[in-house]
Amino acid sequence: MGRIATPVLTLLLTACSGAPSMLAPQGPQAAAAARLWWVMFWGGTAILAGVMALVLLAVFRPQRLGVPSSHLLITGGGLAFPIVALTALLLYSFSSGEPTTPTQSPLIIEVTGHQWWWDVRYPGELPVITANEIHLPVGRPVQLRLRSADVIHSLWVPQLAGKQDLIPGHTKTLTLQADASGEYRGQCGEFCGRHHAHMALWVYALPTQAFDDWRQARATPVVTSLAPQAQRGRELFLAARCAHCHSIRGTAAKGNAGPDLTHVASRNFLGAGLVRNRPGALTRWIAAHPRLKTGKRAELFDDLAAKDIEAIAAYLEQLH
Amino acid sequence: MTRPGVQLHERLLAFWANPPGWRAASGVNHTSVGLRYITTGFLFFLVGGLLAMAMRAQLAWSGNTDLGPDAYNQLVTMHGTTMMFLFAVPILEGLGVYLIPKMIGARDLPYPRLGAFGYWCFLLGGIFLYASFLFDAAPDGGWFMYVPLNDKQFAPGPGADFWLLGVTFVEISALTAAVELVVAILKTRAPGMTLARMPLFAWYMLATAFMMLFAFPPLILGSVLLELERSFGFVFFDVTRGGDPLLWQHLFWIFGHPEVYLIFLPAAGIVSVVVETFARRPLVGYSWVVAAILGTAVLSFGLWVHHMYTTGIPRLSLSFFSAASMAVAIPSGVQVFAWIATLWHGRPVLSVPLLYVLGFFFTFVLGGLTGVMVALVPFDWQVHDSHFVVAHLHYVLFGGMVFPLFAGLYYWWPLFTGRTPPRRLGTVGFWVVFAGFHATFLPMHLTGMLGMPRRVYTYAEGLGWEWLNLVSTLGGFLLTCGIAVVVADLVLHWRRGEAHDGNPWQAGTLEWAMRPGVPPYNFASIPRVHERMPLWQQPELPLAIAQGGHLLAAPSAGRRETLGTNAIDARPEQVICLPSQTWLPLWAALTTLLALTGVLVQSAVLSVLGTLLTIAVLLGWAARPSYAESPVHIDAGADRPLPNQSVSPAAPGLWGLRLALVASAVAIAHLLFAFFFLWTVSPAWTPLPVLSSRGMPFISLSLLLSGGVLVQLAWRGLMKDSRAFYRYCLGALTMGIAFLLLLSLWLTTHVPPPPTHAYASVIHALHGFQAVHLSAAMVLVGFVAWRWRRGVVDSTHVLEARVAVEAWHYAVVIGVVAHAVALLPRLS
Repeated sequence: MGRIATPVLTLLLTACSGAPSMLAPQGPQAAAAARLWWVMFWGGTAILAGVMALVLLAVFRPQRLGVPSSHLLITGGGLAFPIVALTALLLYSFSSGEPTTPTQSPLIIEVTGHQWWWDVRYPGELPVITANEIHLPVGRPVQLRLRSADVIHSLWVPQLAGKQDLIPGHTKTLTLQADASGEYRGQCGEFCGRHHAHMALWVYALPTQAFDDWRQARATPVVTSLAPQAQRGRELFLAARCAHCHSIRGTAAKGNAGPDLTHVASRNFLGAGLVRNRPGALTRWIAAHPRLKTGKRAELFDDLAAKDIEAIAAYLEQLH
Repeated sequence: MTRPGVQLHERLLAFWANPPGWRAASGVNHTSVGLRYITTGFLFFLVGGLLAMAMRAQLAWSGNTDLGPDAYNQLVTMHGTTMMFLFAVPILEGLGVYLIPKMIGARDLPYPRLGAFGYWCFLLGGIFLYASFLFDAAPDGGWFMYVPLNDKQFAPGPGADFWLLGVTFVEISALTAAVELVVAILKTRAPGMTLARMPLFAWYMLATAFMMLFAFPPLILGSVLLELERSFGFVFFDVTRGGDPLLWQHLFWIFGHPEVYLIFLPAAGIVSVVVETFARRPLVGYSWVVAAILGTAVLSFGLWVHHMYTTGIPRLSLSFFSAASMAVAIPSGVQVFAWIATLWHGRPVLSVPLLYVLGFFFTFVLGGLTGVMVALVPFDWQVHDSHFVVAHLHYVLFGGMVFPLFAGLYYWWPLFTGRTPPRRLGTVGFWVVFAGFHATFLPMHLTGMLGMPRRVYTYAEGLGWEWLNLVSTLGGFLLTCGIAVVVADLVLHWRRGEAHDGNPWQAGTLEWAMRPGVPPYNFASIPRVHERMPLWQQPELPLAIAQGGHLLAAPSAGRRETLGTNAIDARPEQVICLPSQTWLPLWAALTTLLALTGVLVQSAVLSVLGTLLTIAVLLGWAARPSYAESPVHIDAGADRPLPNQSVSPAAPGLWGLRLALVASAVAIAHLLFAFFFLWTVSPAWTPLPVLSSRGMPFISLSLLLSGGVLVQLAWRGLMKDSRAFYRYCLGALTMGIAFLLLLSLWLTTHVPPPPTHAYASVIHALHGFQAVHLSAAMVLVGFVAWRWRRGVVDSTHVLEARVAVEAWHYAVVIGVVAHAVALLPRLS
């Protein structure tokens, strides 16, 4: 029955496409957890049905039904059965979900959790700094080195792997592997304060060649001739408070309290998954982000004129 | 009721009844205190439920921002805090406080004033927590108070202080109830009620009370450490100065996991009672169940790390905790099958309480199965802190505690009110609660597996979470309607029900042997017990009790008394004199509130004033012992006259002290754990500096030990009725003062101030704890010396002196440990 029902149920449960569901795994660790789930789901359903049948029969039993030995019920049902079933399950779980052993020289990505965004760095020959999105090559285990700049966060991309906390003072590791190219949504799993709800990230699994191209492109600052408005925006960015918090490689902006914006225009979302990066979104985001993101701690940008904000946005939109 | 029964009733009532009107609040009788706990706990349950409804309304649609993040985080925090600390634990304590003496054939708990004090701490602590809303400062950092999110840097407002102080205040009640229930169950059972004849509910409460003594101290210690860090700059959790945020998680979950079981066990006790009564037979496999209770209590302390699977602890240790987490399912399985076997072997009669027990079976078994799932590391990495866990914990807590609680409320409602409950509305209420509960929480498993984390105040559309959340919200409102029906039903029966004859369910345990209407003295005479279900074997027992046919039936002196028996086989060994109504417990709670408010508003004056006033009230309380006017030996109708507790070596006061010291030792053991944990695990721990001392610790150690010797000499002097007692007491006090002065000199001149490093903070905290203990012992010894001069303490009336001496010796032991830790670096 399980053979037919499992796919049907899976379909039903994941029918809502777009869900970052652990039941639609795309990596070995998530696949192991999903397998474990289905074993436990069917086992658990059977046990629940059995126990409830015993309970209901005990209360509403027909006269003719015999009474099982109480010794057998307690030692068999309460003691022997759980010991056997749980031991089997425990051994099965030990053999599953073990993180994939990284290859000889694993790709290392450093992820630092901040209230409320993710700093993502690719150290090595082609250093890349980005935020709120992780690009990785398909089929290759990637080792994430996880740290926190403030409070405890937790990185969770359900389709690829279970979560791992980011704890101040500690460096933790998590191995991710995507078996198919695609976009996988993740979100902070540990309550981290005011905007915990708005701390998403996206993992983009790319074919090896595409990943190498991506890394090549992101490792270098954007060099482009700017229109007058964008040029003014660039000056404003460097002169106004923007550069206190943000970096743009190749410029004097070296702040590190907020995300690196070197290639901000290439990102699909702004504000750790809060806003889709459509045309015009940057303008609105710049005006609103102290309120929507940094909360009470940030100074507001109400003194910036609308046309200044538009100029800054025009500049940032060039940073592909 | 026959004539002698009525006369006896009226004579007992004369000095057992609470004063009329509002003065009844000064009553300290366990029936009054228990009902106060139960009603207050239930009101907090309703409030906590309303908070949950606001959260469910918020999550009904994606992108909803009716509530901002701050308000939502306050609701999440206060919902969890309320349900755990202000509802679940206190209402079960209340049930224990109310029922235990009645079930074991006692007239009252051994420390009625302490019980009343605990209740006031609970009530005032709850009000204190909720008062934070008035200042727009409700805690919003989660009911688990993780650091660094709740340290001064990330939570600069007073919200976390409200939480830490309020919860610690409330937990005083857990400790007082624990001490009281342990001593009541072990020392005041009716004669003949051996351990093997004890109602299972008493076994469950005994295990629960012991668990409280071991589980709450780590929480209280953690809260004190965090408050020291927040308000006084100590370092325990700040990773840059040798602390570690993971230390908080360990301390919190060493409390937090046993907490789940100490909520479940009393509820399972209710299930056992209801199953026995409605199966019309004693529980099958009594000794199996007792073993399962003890197994659960012990195992529950070995699983806390399963709340921390995602913190990156090595997989090998995780495997150990994973196996332990599964192992705890086995005693639960034994209990479930013992209940099933009892139903099979009895003649089950369906009733509203039994209906709730059936609801419990389904819900709790399902929650237990998802519990096994989250105990498995690879699966937990996925669902940890997702809505799957929200679903799981509600199945276990609502299924494992609220369903049994409602079964218990329906079962004992006739006892509380004296009315027979009709069942129609009760049945409707059950089905609405049952349907509402599962509609809320069953879909939530899936919500979590689809990737929705907990504690998010809103979520984006298009992630597949919308319809599941909507169903949960609708289910939540249905559940609320069900609870409204239950409340309406209970209130209606209380106001309108028909009076019953004393045992409407034909139950077998002693609480149904009382005169209907629950007289404040419970039993006109203390029955002798020969079996587990006395009323089934001796249906005439209630009459014999009421007519004074058993023990302690001569209330001639107008004193409240109950019988003290020995722990194993319940042979009479003393008569425990009990206090009457007094406002002192309320005053003690109010002065404690003053001291805590002083910490909250950072006013040293208020704190010191509150502390001094509390000590004054407690001394006033101690100066009015319940045995003051009692003769040394009392004829209770046993084979020989029995001593009152002031001359008995088995006095409840002594037991109470020792249990309190156990709780204190647990707290100090966790402070040592904190020290070794930081030493070995904290990433920023620097090698231990050798604290320069110029021999001061050695001098102070000698002072400490000589103080202990002098106290021992004083005790010997007392035994010989020698005046040397007084002189030795004064000598010991002098040593104590000299020790404290030298200690503070050493701490201020030779130990770096606490904010410099976690090591300095640990040393200061440890020595602070020992100073508090020694000061308390000094107050006690001074008090006893004063009582000796007044002639109340002598070689016969030794109880108070014995308490003071044991407290002092304990303080010496703590002091030696503290010194050893301070001198540790010299050895390495």
